Amino acid sequence: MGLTSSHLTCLDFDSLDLAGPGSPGAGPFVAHLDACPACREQQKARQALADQFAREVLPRSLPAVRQRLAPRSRWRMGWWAFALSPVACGVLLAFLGLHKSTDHTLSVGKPVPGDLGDIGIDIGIKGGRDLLTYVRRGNKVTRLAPGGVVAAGDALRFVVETGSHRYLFIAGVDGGGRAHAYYPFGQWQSAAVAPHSRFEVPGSLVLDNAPGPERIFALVSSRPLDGDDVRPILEALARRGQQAIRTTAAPSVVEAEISSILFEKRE
Amino acid sequence: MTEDRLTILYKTYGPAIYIRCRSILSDEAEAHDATQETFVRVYRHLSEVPSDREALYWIYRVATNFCLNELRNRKNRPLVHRTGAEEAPSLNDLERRIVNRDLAARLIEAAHPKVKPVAWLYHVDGMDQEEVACILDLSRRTVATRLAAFATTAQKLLRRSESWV
Repeated sequence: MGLTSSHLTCLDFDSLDLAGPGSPGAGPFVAHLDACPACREQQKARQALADQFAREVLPRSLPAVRQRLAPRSRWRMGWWAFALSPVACGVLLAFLGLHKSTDHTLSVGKPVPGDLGDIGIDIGIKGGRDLLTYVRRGNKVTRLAPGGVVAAGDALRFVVETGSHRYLFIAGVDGGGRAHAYYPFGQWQSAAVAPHSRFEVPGSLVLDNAPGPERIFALVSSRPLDGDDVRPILEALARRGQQAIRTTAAPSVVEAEISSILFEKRE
Repeated sequence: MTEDRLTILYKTYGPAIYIRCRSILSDEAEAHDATQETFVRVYRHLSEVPSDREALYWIYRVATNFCLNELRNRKNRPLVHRTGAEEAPSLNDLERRIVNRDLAARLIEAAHPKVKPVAWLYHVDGMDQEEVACILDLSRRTVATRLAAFATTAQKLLRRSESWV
């Protein structure tokens, strides 16, 4: 019991929960609970939250946690420090000042060439955000131009302007007809990001040796996107083949702003 | 089937992390994300620390800092919320006055980043200085200094809020 010595603190409750009421040292806490209605209420509320964790949070987030803690094959960390060095940042900021948006950023209400409205997807494009992409080959880091050519083993990293949005999801489709979730890696759902920030996506995408086009999408939204909203759309796009990937800058996802970048992989 | 170590650790400490995050963020969806983020950050420590109490210190330190940063990132919140007919308090009176958790949370939002977790653990969670020092891995003296700094800032803000009425 801490500052307000008349009641148990959250640390007391947690210690009791972890050690159990029969553990050494738990006696004063248990005695206090017996005598204090307010703390019993607090304990009930905490138990309800613990139950909710077991029922809702754990099943949903354990796979994601496992994925994040697993050794990474395609997505890895490491060279970003170089790209964020003061020199590199200076060059990039100067570049951004001259070249504010990607070529694939859409404006409000604009028709979307090659969009997936024809397969019954709701249209909800509200504009776009910058998706800045950097490629490392050997020791050299450069900004990847839209449509640029990359090779197996190149590592890509992404920076996204979040605007007023609080959630980000990054996914891609490749010429092999597959869709991938890249951020959060392996998860078909958005992650929370700080609004009005330039978010540097952790980890890097190390390219495999499958040739052909690949397009990466950054979806920012005010609500977390569910995989059910996004995955079928991207998988449908991937199935439509390489030309569709090259021409579909932003498939429509309700309540998301989308930017994308296309690159071509060479063996 | 035997559960792996990751699952056991998540089941053991996940509820404490989730409750902690809910307590600070007061938002279910944000608490889900924060729980995952906190667990990932403390995972290795959880499997290495000698006791549950030590594990809790890590959890509180990481979750508190992470969630307070999340709160900072929320926009359009007033710094100080007037909760009734209050007078600008004296320094001695401050501790008694900010027992209102909501008011304390809003005052803490305006504090220096180094002061925030100290003030939250002490004023909102009701821990004593020794516990705050253990959780944040600070000396007791540093905790006291930061609490004094917070008190000064909070006192100014409360006086200012009076002048807005």
